[in-house]
Amino acid sequence: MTQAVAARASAHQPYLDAVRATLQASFCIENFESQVVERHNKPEVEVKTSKQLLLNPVVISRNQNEQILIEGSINSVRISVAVKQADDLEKILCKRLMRFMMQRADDFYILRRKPVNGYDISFLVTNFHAENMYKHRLVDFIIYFLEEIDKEISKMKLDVSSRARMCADEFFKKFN
Amino acid sequence: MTEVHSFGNLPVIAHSWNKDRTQIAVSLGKNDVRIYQKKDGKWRLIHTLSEHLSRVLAIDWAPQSNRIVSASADYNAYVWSFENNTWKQQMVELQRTSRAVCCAKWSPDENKFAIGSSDKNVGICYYETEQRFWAAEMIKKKPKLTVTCIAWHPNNQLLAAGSCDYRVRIYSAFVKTVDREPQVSSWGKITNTGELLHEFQSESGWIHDLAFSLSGDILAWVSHNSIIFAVSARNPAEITMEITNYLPFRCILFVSESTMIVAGHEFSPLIYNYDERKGTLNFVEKLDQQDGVVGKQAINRLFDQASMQTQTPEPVSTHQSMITQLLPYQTEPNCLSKISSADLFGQVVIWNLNGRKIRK
Repeated sequence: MTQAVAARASAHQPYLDAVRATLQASFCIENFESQVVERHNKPEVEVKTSKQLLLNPVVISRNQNEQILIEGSINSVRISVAVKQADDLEKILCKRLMRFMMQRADDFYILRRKPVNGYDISFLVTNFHAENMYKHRLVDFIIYFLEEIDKEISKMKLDVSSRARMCADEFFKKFN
Repeated sequence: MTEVHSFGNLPVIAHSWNKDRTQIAVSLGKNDVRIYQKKDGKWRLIHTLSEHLSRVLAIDWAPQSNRIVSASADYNAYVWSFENNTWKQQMVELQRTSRAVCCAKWSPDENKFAIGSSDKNVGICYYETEQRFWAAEMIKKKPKLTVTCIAWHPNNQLLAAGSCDYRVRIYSAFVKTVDREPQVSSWGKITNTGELLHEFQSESGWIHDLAFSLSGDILAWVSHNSIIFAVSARNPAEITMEITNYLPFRCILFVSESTMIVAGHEFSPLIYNYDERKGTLNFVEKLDQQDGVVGKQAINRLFDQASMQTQTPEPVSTHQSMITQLLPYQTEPNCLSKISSADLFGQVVIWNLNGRKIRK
């Protein structure tokens, strides 16, 4: 059920559309009890007890720096995002921001405490999330996150440089 | 035309009706089975069956004998019988099963039931009259992964099981102490308990549900790759496949000899028709035909503006989440006239099939 979405002229719209379609398909998850440990119910995408319970991972990339990895399984989906980092300042900002969020992972419900290797931030959606949240809202949240994170980092970058300029101004006033 | 019943906002993992449809047993994703009775148009909780230690995964209510079988993730199954206004449980001796019991279903004659479990066991359970307990006969040629679904053939002696290893198997469920004589069946000779009669394989996709047609001559199943399969007893070598454009289906139910209803991650149940002679499965229509937004949904949409801009339009359907189970609600000779479906947001919906294009 790929739903029509209002056209929004944006350079990375095709990328987001591909992500959205993949997410809608991979969020078809259900309750699944562990086959290995008694009375356990663990996300199969994390424990990987059987190859047959996993789906092929999908990487959707816009360019070398910006990509998203979607790993599906019978009862859980792991979504890992690599965020664009053009220079050292963006790298530091991105690292700090992600750290800030992941320390509060419990409040974000679907956020994973550690990112998957090679990515900046990971989400883990299990069937228990699908049981009390609207699926389309979950998809929207991740798309919204992808849209906003770039804006957020470039805004922070501007803030940092404008503050640096202000500091420099104040500093040089002393010598006039 | 459709009745919507709500049981709070917990997921309805399994539901089952009593014989006259005045009571319903539901598992709301918790450790207990709750029995509701309808009174003055409202559902009232009358019994809570709490013996399980983990989430109850399957419930089946035998209409004639008025017994409930419940299966849970704590690797136990109980048979509940109604005596002196209370439900009394009896444990089923499931030897060698130490993982979750995923499915349980009474046989058509209600003298035995079958279970499927996460440690790949399929068991046929019957009442041992001499020793007075529910015994289980385990099938030797087990599936390779979790048994997700089981279905009884109407002749009471054949059992189909679907599993996560992409395969559907038909077993003989003949138990000597309960069934006196093995019957002749269209799917092959029934001999010992647990004899593997047929094995059907699909290339990929976990089997989510399977069903026999009303006469038992057609077996159909749905898998995670959105494919509907059907096979006829007259030619078991030829499997008919229909690759659909919808999200995966979670449950399947025959409403007449050749017409079936599938439902799942696509929020509306869909009607499909199986043409045995041509070997095709044809889409007939969607059961949920709502054109516009009505009543409660429209109001919700006005008030329920998320803080972020929602881009996906809200689904316009009776069910707003995955459909977990389809059950017959009202039967007529040779077909079903009403079915019920349950979803993850606590709804049970009764659909009227009169006026639908169903081939008798």
